[in-house]
Amino acid sequence: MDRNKYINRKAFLRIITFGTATAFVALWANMIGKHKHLSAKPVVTKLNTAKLGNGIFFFERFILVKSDASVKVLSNRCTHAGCRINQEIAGQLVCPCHGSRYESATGKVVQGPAGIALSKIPYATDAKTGEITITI
Amino acid sequence: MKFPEIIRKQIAFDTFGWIAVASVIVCAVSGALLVVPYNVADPYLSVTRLVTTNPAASLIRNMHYWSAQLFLILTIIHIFDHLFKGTESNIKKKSLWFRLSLSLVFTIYAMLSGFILKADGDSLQAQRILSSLVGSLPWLGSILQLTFIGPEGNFQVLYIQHAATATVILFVIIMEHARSLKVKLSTLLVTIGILTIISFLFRAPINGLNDAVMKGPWYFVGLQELLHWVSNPLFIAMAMILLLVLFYLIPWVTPMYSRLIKQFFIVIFVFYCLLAVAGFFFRGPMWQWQMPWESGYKTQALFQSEKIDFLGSDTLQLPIIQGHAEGCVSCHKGMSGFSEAHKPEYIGCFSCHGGDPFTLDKSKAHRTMFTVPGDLANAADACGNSGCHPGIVPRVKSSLMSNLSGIISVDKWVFGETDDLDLISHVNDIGNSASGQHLRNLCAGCHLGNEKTKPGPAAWLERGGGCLACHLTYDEKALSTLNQLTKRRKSDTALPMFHPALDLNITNDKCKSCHSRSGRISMNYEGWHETGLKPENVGGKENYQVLPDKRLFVKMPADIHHEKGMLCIDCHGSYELMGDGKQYAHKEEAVKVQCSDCHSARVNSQKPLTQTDQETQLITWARKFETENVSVILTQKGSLPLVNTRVGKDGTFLSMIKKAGTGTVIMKPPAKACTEGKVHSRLSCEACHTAWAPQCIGCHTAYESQTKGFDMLKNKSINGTWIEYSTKGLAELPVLGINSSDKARKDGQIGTFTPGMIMSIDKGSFKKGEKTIFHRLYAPSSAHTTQRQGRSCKSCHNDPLALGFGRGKLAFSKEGKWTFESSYENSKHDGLPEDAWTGFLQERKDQAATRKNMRTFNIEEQKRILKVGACLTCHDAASAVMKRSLFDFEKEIRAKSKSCVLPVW
Repeated sequence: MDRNKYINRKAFLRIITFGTATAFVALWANMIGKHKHLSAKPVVTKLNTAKLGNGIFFFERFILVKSDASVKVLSNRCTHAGCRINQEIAGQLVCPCHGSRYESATGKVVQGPAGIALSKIPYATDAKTGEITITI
Repeated sequence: MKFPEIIRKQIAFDTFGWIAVASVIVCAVSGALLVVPYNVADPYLSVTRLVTTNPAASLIRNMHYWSAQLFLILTIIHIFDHLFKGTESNIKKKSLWFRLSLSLVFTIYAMLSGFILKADGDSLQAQRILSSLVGSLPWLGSILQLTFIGPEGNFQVLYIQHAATATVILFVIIMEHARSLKVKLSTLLVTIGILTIISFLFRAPINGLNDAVMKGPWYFVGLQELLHWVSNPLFIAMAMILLLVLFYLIPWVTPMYSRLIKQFFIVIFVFYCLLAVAGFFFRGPMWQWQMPWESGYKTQALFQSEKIDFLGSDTLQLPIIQGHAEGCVSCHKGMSGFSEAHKPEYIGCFSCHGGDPFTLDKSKAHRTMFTVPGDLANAADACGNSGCHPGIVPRVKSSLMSNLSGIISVDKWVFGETDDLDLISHVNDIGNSASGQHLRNLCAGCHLGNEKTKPGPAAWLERGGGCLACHLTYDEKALSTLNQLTKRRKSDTALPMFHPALDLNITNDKCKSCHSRSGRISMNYEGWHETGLKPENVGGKENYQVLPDKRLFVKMPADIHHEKGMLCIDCHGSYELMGDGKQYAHKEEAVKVQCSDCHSARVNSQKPLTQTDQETQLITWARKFETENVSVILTQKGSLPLVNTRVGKDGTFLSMIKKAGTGTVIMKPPAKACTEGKVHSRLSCEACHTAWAPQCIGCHTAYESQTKGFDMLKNKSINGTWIEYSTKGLAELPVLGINSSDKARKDGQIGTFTPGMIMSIDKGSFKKGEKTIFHRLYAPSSAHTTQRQGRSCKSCHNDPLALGFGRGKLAFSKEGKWTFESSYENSKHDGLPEDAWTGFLQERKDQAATRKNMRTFNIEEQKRILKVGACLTCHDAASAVMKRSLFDFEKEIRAKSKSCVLPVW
């Protein structure tokens, strides 16, 4: 019997260990994927913007910029490192963590380090009441 | 001897490694105990509550924090110690070195997750950054992020991984590395002793939810700074992994490469420390650079002082204010006097007064508090913190009432120190030149940044005070409380029960301490004219008023708006008074409201009140105005909403709710006489309706080095001062001239002017060799003495003062010759009568006003005015011919009778 035809015990165990670890990681990833899907619970916010007046409003999950009839809903998550933007100076939205600045009217970057504009969040408007619904 | 060894020799009671193990044991035990008061469902409240009212838990929390910091510091020293000695080569197993390298990640993770679990503003942002960094890693990023950090704002995953996984892994690695947890009892006891002392002295950090300065943990401030310079954080994450790989490679590469990697680590470490120092000490609010010696310098305390008091008051259930427990209200409960928006049940004490809200110890709570919150020096932290009015404070700081730009630039120009009358200046930049000293002596006290150092209502001579200058209101109870506080002894323990209000009760008196000077508009408005007399000259006489600064005013006709019960703030709204964020060179640029906004046959511009801006809505709420189906006037300049105006349905009926709460006034459209014909279309409303304006003939200014003076910027007496010797003040109709600053009006507008300065300045008295300067400058005036009845036709067309010639006799001869005889001597400086703005039928080519684009009437304009004046010498102003002339003057001239005499020039 040619022993060289077979892998030795150590190599076998190594393969088994690697396989188990890979399976475990796959299981882990699968669990996270399912969890993400099951726990994705969009938060719905309804606002009567007519009563808000013009200005910049910082909410828990978004920034609302209102100017007369125009309403823009921007993500409050800095596109640089994910900090919550909660400050405004002279119409510019300022990230307190690393100093990125965005134009409040458009969400465009005025000053880095951020390089990407704030994302616009779509919303639905009730034509009768003027109420807007933001789903994140 | 190597550096770590020198340190060890100095403080050695065991090796760094064993002290680190002792620290981690203390950390684990204290962490296990903290599980009880810590509530993962409401972490910030539970932490602030235990810090404030549970001294034992607070001490344990401090020990948990400090033991972790000690462990981290010793771990870093331990690593460098080994690298210096080269002992890593003793490790033969690659897998062991791999696990040791990986333990660095878990050490950082355990530290950072602990930082995040305190759940204050810094922690929440740190969670987002960590989440973003880990999530951005390729392949496993999302999985790692959800497994080790969890969703935003949810601390369950982080809590379990911090308390269980990270701790277990750390202990396993320590066991493998040190082969034992058997720390010497003496080492453990000494470590506990040191940590206990530190924990009694210094609190584990806990900050607010909306602090102006956002900082990561001290060991990550360098990384925070680094992240500012790198647009994609993934590069930083990859660089950190690369550093870890390099660390792992140290024992397995050739000695030369190993040495190079170690040197590289030293360079990186030094560079990182420099970044951390820069980030911690030189980054201020809004990520702005700041220098420690600058006013308003602000950073987080590296060490927050602690006072653990087991013998203090009984266990208290503190009210929850804005998501945290606040110690202040344990003593200061039941206070009254606040305006609705500023009641402590909504905003606590800390929001305005600062201090330490997480202690029940008086001295500690009060140590860093603002006694006078709202003064401009602390307004950004008090009124302007991000949960309250963050947008307003920067506006106020750039407003004219703060920077005093117009006064400074004109003064500098007059002294010959600048060529630009519109230079944007700031009161903080006033130097010690002749003009600087002049401003310091006579002008620079009137600005909002003038510091208010003591509590109390704004006293007459106490100008400035930031937000408090307008918004602080003391009622009798608050005054009585203040009185008791100032008299009380140290042994008195009674607490104040009445608080002054911060509200919109902005009375005219609050404007007067500054605006009773120069143009004196706040005094004019209420019908008072400064006499220059001394109080003893008129003792007891009616119609006189002595101001607290001993100036004597005599009664004059008040402004019609004042008589109708309107306050200054009825016309001048928040964006004029607190600034609109723009920098203006002069006041007439900052003031947007004009007569025609309200006095119009049909509203020029309007808006539903519910669609106005946030600030206007807040004022609406505070003033309890109705909002449904209400439209307000927008100013033609700047489109500012006049919150208290009301527009009728068809836009023709305009009214105003008086902010004094005394009802409503109807705002009538201009009279027929104002709008008839075209000939007066260039006239401003003020040109006709100003009843009087305070004026002087001239003055001489000199520096007197031996006279006691006052530096208004430093608020202290000094030797030497500029003195103004002026003539008696007069109250007369204003002079007319051309204001071309509004570019929308092609030929300019006829406005009102008063002598801004007919003045000689003896500059030689300040600095030898300098010459005396003479100026004949008039300034645009908005006297605020509006009358329903306009001035007469003759008061313009036949009056030498109105035309700018000065006081005297203006006569029209039968031969058609206009002549002028001045009441004053000609000045030795320029040959014009002392009080004149321009010569009779002469034109000034030099700068004649304190503003660009403003001037006297030119010869052509003077002739046109006097031509009408000639007619008025015979025809009554109310005559049919003069009324017809309002529509087409030249037509009437063509139809003149033979007896009419026209001027001959």
